[in-house]
Amino acid sequence: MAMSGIGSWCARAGLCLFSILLLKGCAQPSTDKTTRFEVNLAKNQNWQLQPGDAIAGYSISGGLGDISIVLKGNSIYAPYDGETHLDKRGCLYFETPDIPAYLFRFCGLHAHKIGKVSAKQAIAKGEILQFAALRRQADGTWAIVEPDKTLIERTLKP
Amino acid sequence: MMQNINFRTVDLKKLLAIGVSLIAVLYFLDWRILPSLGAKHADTQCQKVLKSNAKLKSEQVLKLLTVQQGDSKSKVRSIVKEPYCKLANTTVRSGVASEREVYLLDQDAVFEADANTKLVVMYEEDGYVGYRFLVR
Repeated sequence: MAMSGIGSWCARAGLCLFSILLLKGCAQPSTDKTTRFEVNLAKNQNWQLQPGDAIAGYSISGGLGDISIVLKGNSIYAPYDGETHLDKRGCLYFETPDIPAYLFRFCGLHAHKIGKVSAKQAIAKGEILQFAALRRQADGTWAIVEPDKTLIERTLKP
Repeated sequence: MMQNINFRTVDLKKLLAIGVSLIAVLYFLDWRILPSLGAKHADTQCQKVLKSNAKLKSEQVLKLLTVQQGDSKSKVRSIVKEPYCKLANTTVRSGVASEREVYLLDQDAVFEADANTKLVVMYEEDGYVGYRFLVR
């Protein structure tokens, strides 16, 4: 009698957990990771070689406007609630309604978290981060601008 | 003696089952609903409510689309009027102070906006930078 009691408790808890996980899964549809995100850089900043490109068999790790940060394998974190995208060069972009008209680019990392992310959630990690802040121009292109230190700190320290 | 041990096992397993269910329920309830944990978003919430009954009509939002980046804040304000609230001042671009103002949306025919959808308008040094819809 006691054993069947335990069994039913465990079964109920298990069923409960399973259905909740199922519901949670339905509520947040997985994002298509193969979607290619593209950003058109401002004409005068659109250099031939950009992070993630290759030259003579070697890969470009940083380019114009990138701030290189020695991460030593640590993670970076979403500075606000927002969304991340991956481009064909393997750079991760973060956008948030909290900061309209800006995109933040993170190149040289792996273990990307793509899609909707919450503030302080780990979104990627790696040895050396190439960071750039992009500001939307009136013509729809994106200009690399000098980022404020506070934003970078927020990204490095959750 | 044996019964005692059995009872303990039963209690532990029950406790474990209850614990697992509780964690699962808490996980399902988005942490944003839980006020104590939601506090970490304080900096992205309204710092100061300016006009609690202000709501944007769809024609105001459409007019906002015609505003060019770099246009004056007063031009934007002439269209969208006073905001519902301001977010905390922040600096995104080095040495350039930015201001973010939040508008609520009217539930009219064109925009069947969700009551939780807001519009964030950003300025840098009194120049219009852009807007984003905030769904939270």
